[in-house]
Amino acid sequence: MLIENGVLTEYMWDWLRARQEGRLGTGNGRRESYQHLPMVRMTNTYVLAGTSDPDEIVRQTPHGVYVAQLGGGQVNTATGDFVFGMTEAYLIEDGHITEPLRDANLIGNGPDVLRNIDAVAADFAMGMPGTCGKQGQGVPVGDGQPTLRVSALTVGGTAR
Amino acid sequence: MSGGNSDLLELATRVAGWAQDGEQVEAYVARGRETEVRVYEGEVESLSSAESAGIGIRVVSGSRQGFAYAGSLDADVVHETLDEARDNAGFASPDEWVGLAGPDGVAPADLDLWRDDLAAYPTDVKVARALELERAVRAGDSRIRAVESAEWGDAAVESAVASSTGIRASSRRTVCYLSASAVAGSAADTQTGSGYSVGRSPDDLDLDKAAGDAVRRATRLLGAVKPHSAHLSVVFEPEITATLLAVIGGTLDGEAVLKGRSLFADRVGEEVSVGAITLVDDPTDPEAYGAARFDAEGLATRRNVLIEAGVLREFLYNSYSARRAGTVSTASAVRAGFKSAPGTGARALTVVPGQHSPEEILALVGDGLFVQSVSGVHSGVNPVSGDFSVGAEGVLIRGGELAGPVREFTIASTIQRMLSGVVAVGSDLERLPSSAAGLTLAIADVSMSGE
Repeated sequence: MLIENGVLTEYMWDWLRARQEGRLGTGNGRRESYQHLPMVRMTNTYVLAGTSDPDEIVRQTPHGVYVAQLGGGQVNTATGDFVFGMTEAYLIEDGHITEPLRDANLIGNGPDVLRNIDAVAADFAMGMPGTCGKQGQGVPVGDGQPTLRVSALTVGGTAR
Repeated sequence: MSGGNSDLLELATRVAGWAQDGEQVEAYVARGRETEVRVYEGEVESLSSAESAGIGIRVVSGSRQGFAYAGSLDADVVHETLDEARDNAGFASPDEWVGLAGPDGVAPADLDLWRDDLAAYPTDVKVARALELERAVRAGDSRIRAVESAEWGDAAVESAVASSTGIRASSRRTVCYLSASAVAGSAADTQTGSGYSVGRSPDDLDLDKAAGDAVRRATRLLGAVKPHSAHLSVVFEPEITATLLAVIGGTLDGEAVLKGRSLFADRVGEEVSVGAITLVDDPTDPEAYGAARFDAEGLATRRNVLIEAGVLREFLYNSYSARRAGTVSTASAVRAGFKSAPGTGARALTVVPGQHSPEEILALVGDGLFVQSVSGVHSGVNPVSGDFSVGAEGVLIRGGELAGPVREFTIASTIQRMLSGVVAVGSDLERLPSSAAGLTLAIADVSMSGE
């Protein structure tokens, strides 16, 4: 458990770093293959379901973006700034999903986004497994979440 | 020039000689050694060294191609690998264009890319250099709070390729680098910046530059705010230009063009950029990081002019894609080591430098955005439509000078519009650990999305 009811409770550790800190590991030492040294990595990370109705969250959104599928992304772990491509996304206008958005991306700051989540639905689902790259090592990772609403995020693109 | 690896060429030639009637055989043999040292807070965090040797064999039989590789040069294994490549050819779908490269009469450039002093460089000195780099970053500015990473890396690679169609090529190269990432500021205002230096020999490395760039880039962003959305001129630092060129290089790959996956398909002879842009891929340039005497199929590399004064001239081909496109290989076959069959790619892209220093370019632009880092490039660029949208960090330009730092925004345009919107090409060619070199580039009318 990394965050419990909004409170940061634990970090991920591998054996080596945990031992340096004089604490128990969390089993997060991972490596791509025998050719690589282990390092701390996520494995299967998810946000638990809330209680809201996902359709109601959309209906309660006067102006926004409905993101159905994210593409690749990149995070600066020191600052928390991230960017993600949206491979399938739509405009939400007056509570309705309307036209699709093409070749746009999202940019934001991880800690800020966590604080700006203002609705969590009950429809938990795991996403498609993917590969996460860090310092040249790719490892398979899973993630999951329910429908979530973030009150403010920057959408990039060329629309005028 | 490149002695020392004649055993590899002998082995490759021997395997090529095992071709049976009606069969073509190509052997690519490589041997390499690499070291990576990472330090953290005055101590070695990790040190790894790797040695590898292996062979990749292609067999073309009828119109079918098979490929197999093994991470060993033992005689038994080599025989088995050839058998497997033969087997695999049996499973392949017939393709009338498959076939190996053959000698095309182009003489290889006289390039010496190997430095004995790197091979002899002791591990404890590599560690000392990484530690020295970390100290230099820390000492570079009182606002540096941490050094996220300080690293030494090097590689020495020898390779040879021979085929039953008459190819005989061998080469070897060394590279080394120092790289650092600095963290500046307080918890409330954390900024990062990176710097590095690359070379063939330890003597080529400029530790102060690597440290200084990381420090300058991290501290320059302190106090960065999210900018208001705008359409403005952008000035790319050399590293960003190199990233853009690498993306453009991917769209000029003849195979992508054949498969309809390039925005430049059917545009040869047309104006695709302003006249100030001449884009070349020149692996014969000894200063280029990706310099090479031969491509991955053993053809001598050559200087390929892709865009000449704004006009699209040609695409990059290996022997397969060239045959399919009804042209000749540009010697642009590349492989990710012995484990892969040849693909196509640029090695040493560069825009021919212009006349302006970076300072002159800032003055010329007057008001705009100076971009020092981009993120999400692999998901933010569509090579077919040309749509380009990436996260960025940088500094606003006011009155020709760097003014307020900005972060957490995107810049967007299309590759086509960016090439047509270039307003200045820098004179400051910078070698980077990439298939492209960089220089300062100014582009008009890019969308910035922030507040």
